[in-house]
Amino acid sequence: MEKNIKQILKDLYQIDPTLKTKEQDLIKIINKFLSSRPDTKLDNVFVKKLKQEILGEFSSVRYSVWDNILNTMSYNKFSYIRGGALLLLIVAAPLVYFLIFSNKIPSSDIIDFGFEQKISNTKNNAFGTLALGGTNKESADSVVTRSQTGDGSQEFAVSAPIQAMGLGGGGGGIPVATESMMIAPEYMDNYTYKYIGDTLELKDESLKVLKRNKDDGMGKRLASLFGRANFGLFDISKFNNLDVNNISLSEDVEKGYMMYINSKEGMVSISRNWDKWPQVRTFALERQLTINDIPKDDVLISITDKFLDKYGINKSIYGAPEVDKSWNVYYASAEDKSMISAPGQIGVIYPLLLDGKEVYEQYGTRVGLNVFVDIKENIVLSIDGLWTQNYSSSNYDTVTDVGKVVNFAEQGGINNRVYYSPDSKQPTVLNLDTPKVVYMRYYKYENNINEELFIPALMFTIENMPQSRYYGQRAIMVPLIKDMFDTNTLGDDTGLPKPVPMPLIEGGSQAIQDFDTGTTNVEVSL
Amino acid sequence: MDNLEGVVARATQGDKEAFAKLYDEYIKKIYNFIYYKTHHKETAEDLTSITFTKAWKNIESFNKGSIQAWLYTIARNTVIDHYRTVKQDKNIDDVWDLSSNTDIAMDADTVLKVEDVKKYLQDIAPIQRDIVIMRVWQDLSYKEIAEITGKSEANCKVIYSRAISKLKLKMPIVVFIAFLFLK
Repeated sequence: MEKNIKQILKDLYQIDPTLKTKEQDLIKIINKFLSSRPDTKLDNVFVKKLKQEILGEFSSVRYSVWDNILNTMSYNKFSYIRGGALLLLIVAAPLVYFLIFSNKIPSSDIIDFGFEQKISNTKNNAFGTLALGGTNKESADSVVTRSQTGDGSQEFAVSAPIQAMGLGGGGGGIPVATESMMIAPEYMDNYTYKYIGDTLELKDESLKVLKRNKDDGMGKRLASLFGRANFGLFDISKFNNLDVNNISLSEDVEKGYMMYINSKEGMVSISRNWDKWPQVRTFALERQLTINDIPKDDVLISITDKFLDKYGINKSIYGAPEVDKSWNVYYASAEDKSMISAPGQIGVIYPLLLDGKEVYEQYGTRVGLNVFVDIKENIVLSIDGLWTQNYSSSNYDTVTDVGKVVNFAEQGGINNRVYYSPDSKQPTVLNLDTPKVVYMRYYKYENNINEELFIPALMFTIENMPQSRYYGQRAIMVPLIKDMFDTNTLGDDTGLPKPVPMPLIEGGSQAIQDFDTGTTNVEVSL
Repeated sequence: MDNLEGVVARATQGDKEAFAKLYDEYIKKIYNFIYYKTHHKETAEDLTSITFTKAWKNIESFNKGSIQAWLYTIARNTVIDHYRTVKQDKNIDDVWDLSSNTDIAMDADTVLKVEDVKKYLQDIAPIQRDIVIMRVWQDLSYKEIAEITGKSEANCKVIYSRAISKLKLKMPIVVFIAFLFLK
């Protein structure tokens, strides 16, 4: 959707050539509009789940097969192979189900898809640099959008090259906004962090970073099963190096479930097979649920435990289940609680234990197997977070300077989520408790691959979590790997995350677009 | 997507696969549109759920016109219903109409991001605001916007020129640019 500034200006000049004399102003305004576009956070898991919930699953295989066959066969000879391979999946999916899940094959033929946890050691620094933001162009570009908007929510510590700010580099300008120039919204609460825990000691000079081997040949192994079948229509052995990208299997029974296996990502999700449930739920017409409709924790956990046992889902790699209470924050902070309805589904998380440690996201939420219970019917609705558990581990140097670590935490940790303006109202001090060592999930995007890494980190829980307003971050995470810790935009050696430069477009700044080079200088008058 | 008319026709007959194609085609646009009017991921997801559920339940009643416009209309009304229910205020269409100290949950990063343009978008009528959002942030063509708003292209220009006259003094360049985006 992004229009480049050059094209927009060209369009404007066609309408009114006199505008060319106001080019500098126009650039500022266009930048303002474009850079104000929010990140909508569209979640592909949500998209898929909603589709399933509304319509029942349209097997991506069944759905895409015919499109692929009909749409692409006429275009080139390779499409026959693609179409054929996809057609294979349609025919073979029941076969796979039969082979894998019906126990009708000899035990020696059962394929291990890696859901038992295994960790293999590799050489030191095997996963490349872990510096926040990486060094590739994609990473830098992804920072651009945030930096243009002053969004400090996620990647303050990224070392994006100045040139990659979207507004370009070029000579002369100082494309950096100092803190005093950034305006804090009046209605935002300001928070500062203070460490109140015990004295820390950091002894390890290196620690294991883990990488999940997502694919792990799962698709190939699934495809190998097809070689046993005689489809009659064609000779499957003529197809080379087949790989199954994803398949969908469903229980053809009343109130059955279906599973979606994404072998590329090594993930399985389970949800209701809506075709086999009484009716499609109509959210808008349902009775509003109240807090009294939510079962007690032990009831919820009993429901999810039974479900996992029934379907033979291995719980040994997870810790004791917990009921997700995050929705409660909205309820607690609402002035008129009668206006707040209870969520239709409550999640129970079985926290993943990786090499004996708990695993958290960068915002302090747990990572694990999520089982969602429909609280109106007290029945499991869906399961997310079932992944292959094959990991590689590699040692990386760690930070051992306690002072720097505490300082990093008091600046908001890896997210540095809340911008604080000293000119604004009195900030709320959030107390950070003694941290524990956990693994923090971190995605590193490089060479078109999104690698899933687990970084040893200190997790500082917030002792006095704000109750009056939703506060997205549940804990402050500080990565212990030196690469990540030392990365900061301004290149100093404090180890603290720094705001990514934001182009100033108000008075005192000037943006100059160079259309020949596609770059823009942002000049700041201090 | 192959032959939109055919897909829509099949969907109106209750063909789930056809509706699934429409879902795939429009889910992102509709979700984004709703997000731009709510500034909150969970709320946007809930309202997107309601929008597509309503669409699926009522697809048989769709008989002519643009399916995209129909979906946008459901989405827009769903957002309005949501805010008027939650805030019990008939004058609120979406998050832009809320005061800055509202207790409605919003994503902090988005709040910061739209801060600069909020005061301008708040000053124009909801329909004009929708048009700006669709054109500038969603990159919809003027023809598509006219379809969605149920107005002719010429009519949209008139609406916009009136908006310009009203707001030119406050922020001439911003408004002017918004208008010119709708050329």
